[in-house]
Amino acid sequence: MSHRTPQPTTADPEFVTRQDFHTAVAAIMELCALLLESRAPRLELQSAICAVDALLASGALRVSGERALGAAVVVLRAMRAERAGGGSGPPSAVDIQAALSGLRAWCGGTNQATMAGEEGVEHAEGGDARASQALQPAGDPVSELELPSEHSLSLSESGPVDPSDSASSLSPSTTRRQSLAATVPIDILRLIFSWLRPDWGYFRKATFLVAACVCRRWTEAAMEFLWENVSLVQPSDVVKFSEAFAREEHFILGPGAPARVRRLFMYFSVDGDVPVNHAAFSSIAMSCRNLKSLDMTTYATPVYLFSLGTFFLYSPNIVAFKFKGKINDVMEDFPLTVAALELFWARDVGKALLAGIGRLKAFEFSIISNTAVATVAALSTAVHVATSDILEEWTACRGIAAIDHVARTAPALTVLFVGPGVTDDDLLLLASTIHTLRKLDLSLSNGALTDAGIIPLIRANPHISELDLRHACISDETLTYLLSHKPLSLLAFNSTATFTIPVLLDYLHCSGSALRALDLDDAELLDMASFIMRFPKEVPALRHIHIPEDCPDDVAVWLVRCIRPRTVFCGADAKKDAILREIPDVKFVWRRDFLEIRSGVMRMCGLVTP
Amino acid sequence: MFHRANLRNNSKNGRSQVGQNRNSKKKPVAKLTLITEDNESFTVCKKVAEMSMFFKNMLQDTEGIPAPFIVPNVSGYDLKKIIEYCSYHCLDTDCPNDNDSLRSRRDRKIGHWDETFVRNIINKDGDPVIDNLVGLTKAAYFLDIPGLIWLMTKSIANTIDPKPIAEIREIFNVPVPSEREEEILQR
Repeated sequence: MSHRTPQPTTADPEFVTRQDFHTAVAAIMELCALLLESRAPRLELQSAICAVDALLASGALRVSGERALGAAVVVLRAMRAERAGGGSGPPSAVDIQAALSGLRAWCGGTNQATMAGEEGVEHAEGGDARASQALQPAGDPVSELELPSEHSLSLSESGPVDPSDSASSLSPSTTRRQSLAATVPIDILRLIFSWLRPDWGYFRKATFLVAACVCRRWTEAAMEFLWENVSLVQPSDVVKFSEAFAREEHFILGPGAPARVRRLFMYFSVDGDVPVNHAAFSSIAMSCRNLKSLDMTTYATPVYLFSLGTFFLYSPNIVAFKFKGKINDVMEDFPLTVAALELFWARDVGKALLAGIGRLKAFEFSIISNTAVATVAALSTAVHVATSDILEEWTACRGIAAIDHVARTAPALTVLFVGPGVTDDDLLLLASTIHTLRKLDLSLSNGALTDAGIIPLIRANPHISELDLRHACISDETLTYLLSHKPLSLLAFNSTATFTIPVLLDYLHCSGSALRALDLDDAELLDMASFIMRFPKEVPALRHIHIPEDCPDDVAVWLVRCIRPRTVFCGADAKKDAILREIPDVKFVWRRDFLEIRSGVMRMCGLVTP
Repeated sequence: MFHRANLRNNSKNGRSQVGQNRNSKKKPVAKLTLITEDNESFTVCKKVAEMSMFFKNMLQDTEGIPAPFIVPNVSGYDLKKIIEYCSYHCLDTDCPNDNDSLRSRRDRKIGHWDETFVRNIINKDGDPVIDNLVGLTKAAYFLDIPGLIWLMTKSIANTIDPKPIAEIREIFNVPVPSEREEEILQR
């Protein structure tokens, strides 16, 4: 079979109606599964996918689930027509079924041909002629396809597929070696994979992707772990993901796949005023019943408050919820007002949202809205007042009522992020009641915090070991105080800090013994020479360092050579190259990864992943 | 017939000597004879055998020591290693069990003895004899010994964790790349 790509002009993107849609999805997925399972030349599937990609890339079609699938049907139909030697007219669900039954017969060999033919007749009344045409190539599939012999598989030799031997079934060579991977039972594979650490990469998938690609048997076990963490990075991904449930029913994990999702991460950075599809959201919320963590960041695309509530209505196990985003409406045609909010809290979804927040261990909620400030404040206060005493990790936000409530009710708070709008007075309020902090992160604040609020909070929490002072206006006073505090494992600051270098060096000399990560961000270390001269020669635990962009190359090289860090972050590519020229084995990481690596924990949607 | 050597002779660490030689008659303890599928026979103390939930349940069900018991699905080599492991660990009080969360299991370090135990399954070139690792894991899974399952799965995971696909395929003797990335990458 030649791999001709249908011209975009011939494809009518509107030809699949909504009635045809589900049939089309099921048919295509069944076809794909069939091709994969039957050892048929995968080139056919690949060429179909390539053709769809070409259509999408040409701009003839908008990227949306229905259109893409519509394009897939066009391509498959074209290929079927080529094979059957003709046929025209608009394709329909009947056509697809007919093509499918033909392909099933073609893939399954003579022993399955009869059965598939019967099915084809059953499903495709009126499409008999086409189905029989499609059945014709079953006699000689290899020659029909004109594929190189090493890519085609002899159906007569192998007979029906034995699923237990799938790992070795795709071998192009005639000798079939016994694969050890195929003999490992899936229960044991699951145990083995539970030890694999997700990598530090952005999507946390690479480790399991590698495992999934080893062989078919491994795919199933690895897919279970891949489904646990789901990242959606575009608003359209929400729709795609909800459609993936239907697709997965015909694939490896079956209908239980959505229940495996534990952490859902959504980061929508693209511009757009169209709210995220509520129907798709509800579909995800209703399917992912075991969701534990929901992390959502959307600065441009608005989200309905109702959509957030549905997650808590259907998933009682959510323990981490982070929302940074835009809410303009409670629901479509119901703008966010104080009255609408009151009505919302009185109904099931609103009640479920507040009750769910009461069960959270990690919580962040900051909203941007076009509506009145009073309404936003009312919403923010309402959700923060719903928190309970089991809260461990919290991002403080503007609003005295919220801070007062958490300060009174969260005795076990161990991680505190301080968001924008929080003042020194708020920190003093928190310092009066919270004494269990291990980590204090001021990097989200907007430069309003000074020594006056920070020192009392550190004093009240003697166990703080990680201190991120970026964007805080600290002076020598804070660093001097830290000399009497427990040695820190993480210290970060940037150009808003106004302390002098001798004080920093004093700190490193006296209390640097436990320091694991030093984040200089964009700190202006004007007197680099004296910094280098007096930099302690031995900071035994220092492993991760962030080098400022304006740091001279020779100083950067000197720092890396002196400290021998495991991971380095540096924003400037030229400086990276300069360091790599001198010290080739330095490991550079991305900013986001560095923030996690330096803390020694891997956070996924607010939850530390195991 | 396999003659089990003294598996733990060092009494310095204060443990009582459990893995005794079969011929030693100093402490009459309840013993159990096991015959593997390849007709090797082993005699073990009841206490050692009870490390395995499989034997423990069997002993409870039969209320006493049965006649030589045939262990299906387990080869002589695997059972030898399992007895070696169980003899050392039968007095442990903090064996990992199914109730441990993944987090706490992950934090637990592999002990020195366990490390040596796994290293002995590794041949001279430093390549893990993955067949033996997998075989032993399957045997441990069949006999239901939580600690050994924990150790072996972690060892196998360590073997494959930092490696690229091609290398894993080589280790596990997987013949040909299966190009299913598209399918997975769709997520």
